[in-house]
Amino acid sequence: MTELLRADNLTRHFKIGATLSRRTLHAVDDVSFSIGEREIVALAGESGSGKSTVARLLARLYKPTGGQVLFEGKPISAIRSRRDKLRYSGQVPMVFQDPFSSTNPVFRVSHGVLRVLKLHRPELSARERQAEAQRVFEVVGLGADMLQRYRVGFAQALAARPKLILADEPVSMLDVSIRIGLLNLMTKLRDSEGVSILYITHDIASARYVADRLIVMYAGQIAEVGPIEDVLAGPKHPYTQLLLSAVPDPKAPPPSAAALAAAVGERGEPPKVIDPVPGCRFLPRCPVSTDICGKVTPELRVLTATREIAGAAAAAGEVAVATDEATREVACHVAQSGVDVKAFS
Amino acid sequence: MLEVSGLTVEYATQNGTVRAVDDVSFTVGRGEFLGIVGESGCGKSTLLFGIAQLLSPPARITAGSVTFAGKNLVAMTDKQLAAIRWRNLSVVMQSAMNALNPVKSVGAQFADALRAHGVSSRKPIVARSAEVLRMVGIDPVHLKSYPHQLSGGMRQRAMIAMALLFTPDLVIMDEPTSALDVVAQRSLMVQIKELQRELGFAIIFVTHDMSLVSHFSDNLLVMYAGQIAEIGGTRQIFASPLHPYSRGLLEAFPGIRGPKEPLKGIPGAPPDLSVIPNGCRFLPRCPLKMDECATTQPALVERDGVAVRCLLYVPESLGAAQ
Repeated sequence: MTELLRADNLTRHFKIGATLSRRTLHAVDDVSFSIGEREIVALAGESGSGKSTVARLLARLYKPTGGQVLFEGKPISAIRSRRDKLRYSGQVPMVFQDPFSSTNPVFRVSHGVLRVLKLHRPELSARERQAEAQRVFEVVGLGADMLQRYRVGFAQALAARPKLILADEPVSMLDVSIRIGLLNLMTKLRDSEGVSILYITHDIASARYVADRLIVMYAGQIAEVGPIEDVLAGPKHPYTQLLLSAVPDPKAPPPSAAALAAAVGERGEPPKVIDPVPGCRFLPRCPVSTDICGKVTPELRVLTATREIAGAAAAAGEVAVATDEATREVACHVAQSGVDVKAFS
Repeated sequence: MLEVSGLTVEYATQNGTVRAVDDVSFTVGRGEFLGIVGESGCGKSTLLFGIAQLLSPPARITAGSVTFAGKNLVAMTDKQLAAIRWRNLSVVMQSAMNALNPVKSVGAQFADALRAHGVSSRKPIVARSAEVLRMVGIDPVHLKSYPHQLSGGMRQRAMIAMALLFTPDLVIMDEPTSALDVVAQRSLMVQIKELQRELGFAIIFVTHDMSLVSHFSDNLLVMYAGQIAEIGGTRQIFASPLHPYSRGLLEAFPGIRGPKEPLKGIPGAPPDLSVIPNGCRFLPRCPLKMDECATTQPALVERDGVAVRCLLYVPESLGAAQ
């Protein structure tokens, strides 16, 4: 798979407090990942873990404090001219969480799409724009049924012939049955339009149905990366395990009293990362921590070659996501030391 | 303890009345946990508001009664209702962000509720406020905090604490966890369940996320287009949903464990309630429809302790279908 976008040591800090306050919030801290062509990458994590900030950094809505983003091999910080900015925002559009507040209520839905076409594809004549808008509406399945407002964001994104759509919780406000329509739409965009998608969500179950890879963020850092089926089948980072264990599963038997008691204990909130000290940020909630966890910030490291896992999955008769250079990476001292972490189940 | 019978709520709109809740009857016993699920627009929030007598025009209750502790709430005056609210029956609203007053500290808002019900001296107010906050796992120092200083999960828990100030008999919750992520969501659910076990209040819990209540509610009410589609024991409905809609809702929910199954979902959208069809309201989306569904309105029928509104389970049509 060819790499479309890569983030290298991406960092974004925000100053907080009064004017003279020196406190900084480390919203995104030293995050590196890549997105391939025709790939849907799910970015999951608690609210406040920095996943939306990552999307905004990629969309050039924020300037990074450190690190850089390479799009098709070129750093996006080098984009200066108005033309290049426009080109980039057309190639990497963002679809926002709330379809109700991110579309202008006084215009028709077609207005948004036509405007995008006029801005990003000035070579089209008025008639061609109409035809193209029609095509885009058909692709996203936006027919006469304008109730489906949530598809509008994708229609607008698609009009500019994007390469990577940044979708920030596009389904979190939707009913289950509508949600599926949108999940199917994302898969369709990848398969028929060749678009990559960064799918930001806290709903891991829905990510499973569209994404190829999963990035789990915790407190501004990446906790774990890997092909999504592998991560779901065997999460390595204690936080990923906590996250997966908390997903309600109606098919499973009711949890035992002990499991429930444990769940009360995990009342811990995702930390606000203000002026952090070295050490693992999951430490206060981690049941398997060791001495080193409080001293050294764990780095994201390759744990197992995907091929082994894929081979094992294939042998077991399961479908494995076959990506060539995809690997399992985990930022956890305990998991890296070779221990099979079982923090939450 | 709570008996809702034949409750009907109508909205007056420009195009005539829309019946958002249509002839809904159920009971909630002491210490029971009832989950109400359905898509948005199915009338579940309207039903809650109808129970709590919080409806405002253009919505109004046109038929039915809500009997709470032997008294009909529908017939009560505002003054009589005010005496019951918070003390015996409290409501936790959907978004705690908007339900808490942003310019008052949490403690001041608790004190307001306590004073309204006759607790006037400072000491018991502070003591009780601190006690309920501790119950939901928030440090009492946050009595002095303003809502914006708390995280989403804490605000939500503060709302629940406020609902528990008087140890009510019934707490009505409208999607209290919708703004939270899964870890906070589960911890809150477990905590609600814990508190319920300690204090013995009953809960009506409304959500669109069916899997959320699967492990917590005793009984489940599935609503569709203003009516009860299915009502019965939660475990039983999850194990073998009878109504095609419950089945669809359940299948529409992707799991993260086990083999990946293709998602089915329910085609179409909830119906427009201003046009009441002759037959079954679920007909246009139903995979199991039969000829008589277009002409006969199904009634709730009892089957193995579960009541279901579907012609599949009416004895004579069952024979016809087979």
